[in-house]
Amino acid sequence: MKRVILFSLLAVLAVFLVSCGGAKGEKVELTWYFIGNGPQKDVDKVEAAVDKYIQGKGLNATVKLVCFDWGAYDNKMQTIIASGEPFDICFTAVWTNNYRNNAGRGAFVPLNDLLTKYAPKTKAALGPDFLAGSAIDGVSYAIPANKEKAHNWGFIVRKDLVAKYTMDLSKVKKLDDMAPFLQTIKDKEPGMYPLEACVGESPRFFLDFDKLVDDDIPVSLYSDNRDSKVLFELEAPETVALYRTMHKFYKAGYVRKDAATITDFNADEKAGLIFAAAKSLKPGKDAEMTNQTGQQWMQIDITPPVMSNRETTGSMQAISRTSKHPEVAMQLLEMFNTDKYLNNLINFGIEGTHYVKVADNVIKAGPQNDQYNPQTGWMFGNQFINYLWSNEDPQKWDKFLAYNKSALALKSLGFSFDPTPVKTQIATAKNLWKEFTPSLETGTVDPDKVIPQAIAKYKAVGIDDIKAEVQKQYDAWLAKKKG
Amino acid sequence: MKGAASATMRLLGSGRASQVLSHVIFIAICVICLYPLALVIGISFSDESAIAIHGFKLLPAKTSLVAYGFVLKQSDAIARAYVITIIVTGVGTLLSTLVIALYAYPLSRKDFLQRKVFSFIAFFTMLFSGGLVPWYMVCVFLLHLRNNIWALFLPYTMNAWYVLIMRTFYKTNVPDSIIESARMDGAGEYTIFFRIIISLAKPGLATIALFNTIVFWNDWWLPLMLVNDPAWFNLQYLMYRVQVNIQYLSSMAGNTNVAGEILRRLPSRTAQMAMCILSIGPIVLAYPFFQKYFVKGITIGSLKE
Repeated sequence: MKRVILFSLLAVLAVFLVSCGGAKGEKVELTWYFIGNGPQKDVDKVEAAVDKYIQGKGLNATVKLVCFDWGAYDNKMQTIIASGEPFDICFTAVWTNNYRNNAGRGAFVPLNDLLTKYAPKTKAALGPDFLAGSAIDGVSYAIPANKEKAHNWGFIVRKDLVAKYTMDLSKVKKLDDMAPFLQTIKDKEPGMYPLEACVGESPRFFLDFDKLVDDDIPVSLYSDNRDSKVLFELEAPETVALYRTMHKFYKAGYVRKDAATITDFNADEKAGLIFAAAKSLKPGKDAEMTNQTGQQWMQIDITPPVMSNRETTGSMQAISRTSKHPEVAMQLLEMFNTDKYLNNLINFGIEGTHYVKVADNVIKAGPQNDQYNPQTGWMFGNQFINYLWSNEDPQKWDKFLAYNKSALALKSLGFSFDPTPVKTQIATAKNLWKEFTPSLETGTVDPDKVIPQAIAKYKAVGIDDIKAEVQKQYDAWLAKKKG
Repeated sequence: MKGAASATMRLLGSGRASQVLSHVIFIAICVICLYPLALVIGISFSDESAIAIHGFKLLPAKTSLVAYGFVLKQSDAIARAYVITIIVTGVGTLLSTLVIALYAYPLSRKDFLQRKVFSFIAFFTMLFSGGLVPWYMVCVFLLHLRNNIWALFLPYTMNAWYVLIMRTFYKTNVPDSIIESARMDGAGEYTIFFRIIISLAKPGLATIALFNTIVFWNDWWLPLMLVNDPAWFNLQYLMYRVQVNIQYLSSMAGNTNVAGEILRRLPSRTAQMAMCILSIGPIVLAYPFFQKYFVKGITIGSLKE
């Protein structure tokens, strides 16, 4: 019996050794996991073209591009990382394949030295602010994609209706200013919802608090660098004012009656039922939405652009601890971020097959477009060297650059909250968010009645503990940064 | 036969009234069961914007074949997934039923001395599982179950719970005396099992087989964990992807610029319903096929000793 056990143990060990041992001095195979619409049919052809190109540039490697579905990515990456399976590069962010958790448990290689040595151009292009924002205690564990580096909130409005009723929207600077125009639509376009509001997609975003814990925990800073005082959002006068306006709008019939139960906002937009909606803006958002919904839109900025942790850690590539060739992986990333041909090859496929050029920098769909169209420009590398689709604004990248320059870099860039001391309070507070936010943000309930109830409940589950803990960690982090 | 039926009817009292009543009740239950299905069919033939304006309707406010057009556009992927699902369900059901039947049989035999040890080994895995990560490591590193057809059924082949059910079934439905007399007639163990035990245990095996069929037909977990290559996606996973992607991106919509954009390009609700209808396919035929064994199972229990 004993001998059998020993033998099987040896056999298991042998299998492991065989599967782990790789031949040296040969071509390096780099595996790259990322998120998207799932595997593309022609990925083999694109990989072959990538291999040929990078080998011609002196990088002795082959690349395996593995795309997991949106919904599956987090699950798959957690298993792959936990099992210690070897791979080289993966997509990571705050919202999937959690960057901070993975960096914290040592799943990613620290990149500071590798960046300096193998990727100086990428480092320069991102700039110190942005890199600092994605670093954890000064160490970068992932490289952010170079794209719009800020966000702002505003309205997306139906252009055709604005023209039809000759509305002058130049004076709209806040939510309340929209009221007369919403009234016009209500009177003249029966059957439409003048203002879009549903669960998780509403003008609540105009408050634009700088969230320090999670999006569904109302503990934040004002995002204008005015001070370092952590606040409970429901106690801020701005919050009460906004929810009052929403309630007024709801009573006036500007939003649909069942708004607090609606989670799918796309259907109404596509069906042409929405006049105005609050959205996260960037240059060219209106044109993008026009393409996607088939309705004519224009955008109106409400909040100023700010660069927050949301952007710096929103879309990044990390190198795995299990990679046998992190320096080759970094060289590939540098080439990918700076080489226009390579970048566009992975983002758009092969010229003449998946896309065709209409001008120097402008493309349209090719005959085999549906075989390779990963739509990953926002995720991969450097958007400023991406081609533009023929229906996009030719000035798009210049506008992005100007937008990035105009943005205010928040002082909280790079701060990450450690939730361990107040874990239970956070879990229960998240349930309260689900209980109160949908009805408040859609204006369904009277904030003067409901907000005091919500505050009392939040206090009962320890929102003050969370606030105090955030303040303590934030102050300590600020002091460390200065000293 | 007819006389017996009407005699029973008379026994139940005022025949006609109770018959009408029971018919009404069962028709009502039938309608309740069929309504959601009819609704799904209705939505799949509806125009997408009509849903946004009028809501879900049994008879679409505006009919459209766009959803089926969308599904047919990827007909080669769906056809392939269909074939894979059918193969996996067929082979997987046969294999796992065989493995479970073979493991459970010795456990039911009193003359098998190690039966407690082997029962415990099976039972232990029900109480304590290794967890996801070790499971993944065994499947991928040790068994190389990745991007191949084996990955889609091998991990579900053995099921401790079904083994215990089958063991009990053998114990209660296969009298020791039958095995004994077979042996006296000169039958070996294999002959006893495949010619006698199997036919006695048909109702039990049919139950297990039906469970397995449903598990394999409805499975999306194995492709989710073990398959990256779309060539091996099965039908359920194809649908699961669409569903989960939409859910995930909707929950993300406020957080990124990206989510909303991608969401708009994913198949619409009508297309999901169309896929759902297509996936019902042959599995509905599995129930009537297995049903005859269940009916037999009720009568076969009365064995005279």
